[in-house]
Amino acid sequence: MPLRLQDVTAEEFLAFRISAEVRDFERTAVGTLSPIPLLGVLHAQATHASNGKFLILGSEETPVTEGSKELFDLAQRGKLDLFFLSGAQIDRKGNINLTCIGTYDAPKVRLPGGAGSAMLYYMTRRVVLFTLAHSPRIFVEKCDFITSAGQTPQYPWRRGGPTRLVSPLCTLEYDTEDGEWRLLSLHPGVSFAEAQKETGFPLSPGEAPVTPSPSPEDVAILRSRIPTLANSYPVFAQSLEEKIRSLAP
Amino acid sequence: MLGFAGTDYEKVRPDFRKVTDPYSGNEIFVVPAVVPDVSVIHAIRADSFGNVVCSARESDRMAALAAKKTIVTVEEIVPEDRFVARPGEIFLSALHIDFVVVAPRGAHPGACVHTYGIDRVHVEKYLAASKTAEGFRAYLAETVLGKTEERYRATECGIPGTAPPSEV
Repeated sequence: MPLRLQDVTAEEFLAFRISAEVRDFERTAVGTLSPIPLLGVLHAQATHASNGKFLILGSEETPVTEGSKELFDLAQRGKLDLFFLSGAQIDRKGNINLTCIGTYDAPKVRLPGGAGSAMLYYMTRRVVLFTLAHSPRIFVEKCDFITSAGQTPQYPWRRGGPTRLVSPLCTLEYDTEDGEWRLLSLHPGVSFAEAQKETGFPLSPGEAPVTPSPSPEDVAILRSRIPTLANSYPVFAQSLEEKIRSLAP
Repeated sequence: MLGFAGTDYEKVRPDFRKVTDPYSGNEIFVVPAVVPDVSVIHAIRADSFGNVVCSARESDRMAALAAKKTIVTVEEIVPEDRFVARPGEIFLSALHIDFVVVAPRGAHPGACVHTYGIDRVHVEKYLAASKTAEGFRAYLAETVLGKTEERYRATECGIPGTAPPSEV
């Protein structure tokens, strides 16, 4: 990975970037399999979004009474401002594939499925996509299967959709007019050519500012939230602590 | 269901039908209800009437309410004054339940809210074994088949001398 960082792990860097998407006084939810968004949300809660409401599955602080149904109902009523999704494939138009690689009837890989992502992508005001890898296998021209649609023309209304995509190489911004991604920033040490080489569709514009790195204070806040992160993601939290310990002093 | 327009579910799920919402006039997809013949969930505690307290974190309660027949295994039966639902837990009335079975550690190697966590070592063993049919058979033979529940709890959960389960 060409991403070059000092005194901070890639996971913490990406969580810090995600924290910037969290706004105060809003409702933000974190679903399953989302440890980096959760760490980012915990950072935001401890800094600029202390008045936000947070639905974190598995958390003792915001207990739900009906599991994921409660999250889905919240989104469908229009009360969810921010959610996070990922995909086995994400395409040029912002579509997500969580269903299968290859054809649906004879897939090369059968994926776990979309769960509520089609609806959440549609009814949450802002959806930030994140990936733990950046390669042409993930960032494709067109998804093998569209599980969640980036845009839905000729449909009465949808409340929201994709706004940002945070990958280990760069941040993309979703342009709702032409329904495509635009390069918003490149992470430290990543050149445009490197990001383009790992992306299966054309990136534009051809240059972008460097993604801000967390300050030492922000890194300290991120690390202070790891015990809370561990309540929901014990294995991830443990491996993150090992990576932090192995950073060069 | 909102959100299916423009996705490939439209192509592969003919049972998802697009209809006009009679109230708003908007087009919307409807999906058929899932009605399990039997739902089995593991709950935390029951009272002597067969009411239970189960996890509120997953869709256990919904599965129990949707099924034609519902079986609930529980960690224990508690006296009335201990029959409370804490955050992360929720009541499920005996009205909806056909059988309550006392099965301490019944979620093992999975977790039971506020009671015990996932047995990661066991789950990893299971995942490795279940990659092949022979591996899975060997796993079953080693850990499950031919054992009483008490024996399973002793060998797999490390709880010696658990009393044999009683039935309600």
